[in-house]
Amino acid sequence: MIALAFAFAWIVGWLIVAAVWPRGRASAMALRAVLATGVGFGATSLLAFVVLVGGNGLTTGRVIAAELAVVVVLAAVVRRRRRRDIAPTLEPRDGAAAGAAPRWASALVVLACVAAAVPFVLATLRDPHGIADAVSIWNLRARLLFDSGVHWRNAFAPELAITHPDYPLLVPLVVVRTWHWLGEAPTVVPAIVGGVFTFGTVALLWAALRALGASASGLLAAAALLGFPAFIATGSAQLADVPLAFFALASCVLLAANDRWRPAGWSLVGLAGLLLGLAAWTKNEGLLLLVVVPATYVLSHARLGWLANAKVLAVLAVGALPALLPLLVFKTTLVQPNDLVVQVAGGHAADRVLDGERWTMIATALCREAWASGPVMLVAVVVWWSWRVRRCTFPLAVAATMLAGYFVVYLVASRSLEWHLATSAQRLLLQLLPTALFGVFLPPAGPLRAVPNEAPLATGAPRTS
Amino acid sequence: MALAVGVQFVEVRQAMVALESSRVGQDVASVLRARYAGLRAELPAGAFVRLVREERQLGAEERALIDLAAVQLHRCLADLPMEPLPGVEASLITQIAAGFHRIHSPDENRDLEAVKRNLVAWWTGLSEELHLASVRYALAPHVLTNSASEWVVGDFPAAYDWREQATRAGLFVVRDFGDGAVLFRSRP
Repeated sequence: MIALAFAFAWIVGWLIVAAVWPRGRASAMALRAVLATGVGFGATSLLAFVVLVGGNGLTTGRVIAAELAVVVVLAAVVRRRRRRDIAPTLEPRDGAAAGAAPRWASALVVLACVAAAVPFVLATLRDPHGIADAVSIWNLRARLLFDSGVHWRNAFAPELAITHPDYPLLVPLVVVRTWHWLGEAPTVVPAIVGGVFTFGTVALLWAALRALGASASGLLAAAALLGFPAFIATGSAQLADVPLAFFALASCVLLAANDRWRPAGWSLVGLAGLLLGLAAWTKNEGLLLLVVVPATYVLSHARLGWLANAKVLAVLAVGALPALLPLLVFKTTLVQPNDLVVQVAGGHAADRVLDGERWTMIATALCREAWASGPVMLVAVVVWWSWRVRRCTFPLAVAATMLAGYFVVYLVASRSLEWHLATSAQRLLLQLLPTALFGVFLPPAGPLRAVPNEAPLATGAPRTS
Repeated sequence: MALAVGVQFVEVRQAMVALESSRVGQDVASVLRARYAGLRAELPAGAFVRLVREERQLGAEERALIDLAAVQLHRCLADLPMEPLPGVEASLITQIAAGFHRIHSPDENRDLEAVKRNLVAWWTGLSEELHLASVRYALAPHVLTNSASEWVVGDFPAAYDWREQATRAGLFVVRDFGDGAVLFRSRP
């Protein structure tokens, strides 16, 4: 039954991706399958929230009925789209094809994956409910929502202020909807969700680069991510940082794919918007991502002109709406403002920004935590970038801008900086790690077109570039 | 790629060592969820509960470690070089000192006895909060509150005799679930 519950979420995700995905090469199948995992978790979580608020509580019947209804509607949309053959053609812009990587390389990455799964499982056996933050925040919220019936608003009661009730609900509600499918609340479900996101992020990195015509780079990037033990450890901790890393990476992947494949229509940009919305529905840091990714994309594509960029921004915004509207309802009607926002609004922010010692402390802590995340692989990746890449790709620019944003938050927040850095710096870096690795291993794109995505919906015939 | 395999094999070894030092299913969250399973079922849906606990006393070893840490903390507060303290990282003392600078007056931070007193208060408060987080999780979907409430949960050591304390607090027993878990109702 657990497999069925997760499979159903994946089907929802698969249908959403299929409903908007431009038709094309088989090499993108793996990418679609991995994206479907995150989109499915996100969509079923949003649906659970709608049922929770609209139906004044979740029950097994309501959860399953709502998901079945969504699957029926999505299946009809996909079927209609296929029958009318209105799916736009997908082709690589620069003619790149997914070159085969050596088998021994694939075998090594699979071996690294299996090896990484062992500490993941052992950590889960040691702390089946997750580490302290998972117990006191994410899994607590899931337990409060699962069995509370019409008293579900208690999960956000002022008595629980110390447990951060303002944190978004993607992870807790994925767990809760799965528990409703099972009719009970086994401890293993949050651990599986953590595992799916952790190894799904590795798979996404590989599948994305493969689909973009860089199979060998895909394997290298996946291996590089597995070489950061802190990433696997954070995944097994059952926090929301690795899910956020998944959505950050996925949104950058889709925008990079849009640049390279030049599909007719705006479907990939819209899907990227949805994934950015899901990032915001996962963690508050996702709200920063929601600003940083579009802004970085527009700045790095300034030569396309303001009209094309305005369209990209509009489509991203529309794509993000299905996640942002529930988030807005959640933030404005159910919870108090975030504690960091309250601290910044509390005053003296300028004094803190001008305090040079804080700058040094933050920079030192970020360097220390980056080193502690996986020193061997960190050196290897930096050497690789300096030797083979030496350019700032769009995903790298996103990671760097996000890091700058986190730096500013550390500067202006008034709580004990030492404590704040010690408890969060490494997790924040790990949120950006997959996106940064994608940026390092992303092959150069062909020349940008002045008017992308403007062609009418194609009928399947390949276009010349 | 070989690097990734090597790194992960080192991790496997470390994870196995870490697992050997703990027992599967004996983590705090699992133990408390199991201890309070019956009590959760007994409570009405959506209940807010107050917690009553044995008054916490520091053990002799805990007290000795805090005394040693207080000396180093006192040196740190005075910007003097610290001496290594077995089992305690210097960065932790530095973090606590930063908090003490913010919370306590310079006079208090200069006085070793006051530093010891404040460190004991900080430590007991911290360990209490960590325990409360676990109990809060163990009692979910019921909500722990500090306010007066009809339902009171006794969270005692297994061998503790809680009867006199309960009588003094005006609590009557609804059910004793054993292992230190007791459900009370407060007298109107």
